[in-house]
Amino acid sequence: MQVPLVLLSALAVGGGLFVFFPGFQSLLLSGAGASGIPPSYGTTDLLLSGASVALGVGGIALAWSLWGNGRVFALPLASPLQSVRRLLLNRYYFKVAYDWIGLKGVYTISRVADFFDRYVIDGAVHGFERAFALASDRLRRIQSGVVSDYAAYVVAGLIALFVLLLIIAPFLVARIGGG
Amino acid sequence: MTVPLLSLIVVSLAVGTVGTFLAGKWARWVALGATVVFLLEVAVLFVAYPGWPGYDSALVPGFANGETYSWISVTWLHINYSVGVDGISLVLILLTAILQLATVVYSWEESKRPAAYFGLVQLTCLGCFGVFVALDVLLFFLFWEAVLVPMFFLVGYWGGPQRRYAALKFFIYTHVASIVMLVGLLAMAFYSGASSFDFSAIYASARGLSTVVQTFLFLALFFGFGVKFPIVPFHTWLPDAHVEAPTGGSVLLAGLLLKLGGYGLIRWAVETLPSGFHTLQPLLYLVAFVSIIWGSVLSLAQRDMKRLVAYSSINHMGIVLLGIALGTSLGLTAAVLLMFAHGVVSALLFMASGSVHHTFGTRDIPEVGGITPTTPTLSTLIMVGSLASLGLPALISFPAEFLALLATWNSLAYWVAIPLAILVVTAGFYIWMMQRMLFGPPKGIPAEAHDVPWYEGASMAMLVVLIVLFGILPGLLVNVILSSPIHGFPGT
Repeated sequence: MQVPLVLLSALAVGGGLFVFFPGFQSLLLSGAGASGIPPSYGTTDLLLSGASVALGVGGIALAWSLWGNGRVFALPLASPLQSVRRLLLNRYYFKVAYDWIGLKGVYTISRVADFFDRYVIDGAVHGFERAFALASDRLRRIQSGVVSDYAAYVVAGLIALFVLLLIIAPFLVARIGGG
Repeated sequence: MTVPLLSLIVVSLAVGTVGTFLAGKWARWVALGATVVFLLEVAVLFVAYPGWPGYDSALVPGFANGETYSWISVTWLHINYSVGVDGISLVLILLTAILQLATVVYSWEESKRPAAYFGLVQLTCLGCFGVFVALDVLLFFLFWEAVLVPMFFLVGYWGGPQRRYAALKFFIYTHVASIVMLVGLLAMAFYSGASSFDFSAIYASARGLSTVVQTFLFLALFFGFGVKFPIVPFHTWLPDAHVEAPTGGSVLLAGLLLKLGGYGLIRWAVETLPSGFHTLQPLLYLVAFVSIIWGSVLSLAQRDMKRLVAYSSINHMGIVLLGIALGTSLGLTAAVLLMFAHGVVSALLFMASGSVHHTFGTRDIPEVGGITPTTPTLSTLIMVGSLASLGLPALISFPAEFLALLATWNSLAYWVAIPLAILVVTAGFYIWMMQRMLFGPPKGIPAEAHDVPWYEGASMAMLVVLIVLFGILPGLLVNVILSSPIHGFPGT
């Protein structure tokens, strides 16, 4: 059981260092592609890397001071660090937080969003569909068979066309300009 | 003498399609033969590509394998049969060939009018290939519309119980968007005073249009291409179409048709209307972020496996839109790589959903559980697809999403927290799905349930190989993408 853990630890310790080796990005972008996107390590990268390494080394040092060389450590019941112990025993309460945030929070939001998607967004589409069906049902009634009606529609259409071409279009062209 | 390779591919695909329609009981073999020929031709196209390997400045903003023949020529209108490829189209052409092969093999035992089915599959791929190579507005639109018709019939005839509703909805949505897109393209061609409908002529003249005009044109094109993505709130056709489509139709829908939107936006809007693009960049960001969040959050609520993958497609295409919206070389590279990655991964997941339905009679996630002992191959394939889709390192989505996040960080700094946080939700719904379906006590498993047949397993295994190959060596694709005119984009 120890051997795989040691191997994984060695990889975890050493693997991250590859980031700082020149040419690492060639794994992602080979040849000319890599030269187009040069690696850059600014202050933020170095601070984050340094903080991560410091935390890791600090954890190892703390564990060694408590359990190194086969020592057995038992925290006294009256110790003020009992709350820290409970935190660690409960794995930082990640599972509780996961249940609350993940299962109760996000899942509830997703169910509400699903309802909104089905009945509001898609409902609006169906509303359009019904509105067009209704409009077309009304519009077909203008086909009355009376010639004077048709003549009136033609005149109205011509007036609309003239307004569009002679007033609206020149106005828009003057406002927004050409190429 | 230069071989007109692209025209040769168009002709061979057309001949293959017609041959398949007429082949009767031999249709699947004719389709397979035509598909293998297509794949070989694409391989030749890749090898002969002058931008390979690496970036060739001579190609910018030109295209390789270019062919131009006069088609309709009157005094005021010049329409050409004009085709060519660059790095972006080449990667998507490769995706087309791969998915055509995967679909034909997966659907090997299709018994309902197989000649028509395989013919329509090939016609869809022919249309997609045409969209990716067309460099003339009218030719582009013809191929674009040519994709709609076979997909309409694939969903409407071979689909599920609500197939007619889903097919009609898909057709109306995408056709309305196509009309707006056509108006935008024609307005761009006429208003810019371009000498022809050729991409090069429009590229040269449209960039000089005023910012206001470019903004209106970009808006029309964004709507036209955006519905195909699909962007929220014009996305509701997608889950219905996916759920009702036959598996092969879902594969082509998610794998190829959504990519047409991304490709069209890059080629015909971002490249040609830089001022309009810059003006509308905040809108693009907004739509991208909303699509990323909406797609992922909605996936979590789905019971149907296909519907879950469909909503996750909206999430992934939102990341593609974000990459495009950034307008940087890195962002656009990430967008194209993610389109390829999503094409392969979503195809695998839709195939797996189809196999779950064939085997267990349902795709309802809570209805089946603990399927791994009964169907170990299918379970493994579902797991690889899910892990790839959630962005596990060494699988194809990881480098694409990593590049997209890196590009977002470079341009938008802490806004990267939005897609980054949503990745957790994406991981959540895939892991939850795997937990419920693959593991735990067996539930809803019929006595006659068996693992996937060879043709379904072979097609999915082929996709798994590609997911791993390009996950480890994404540079193979990135190099090709970088050797395209994206270096000429604004902000690069």
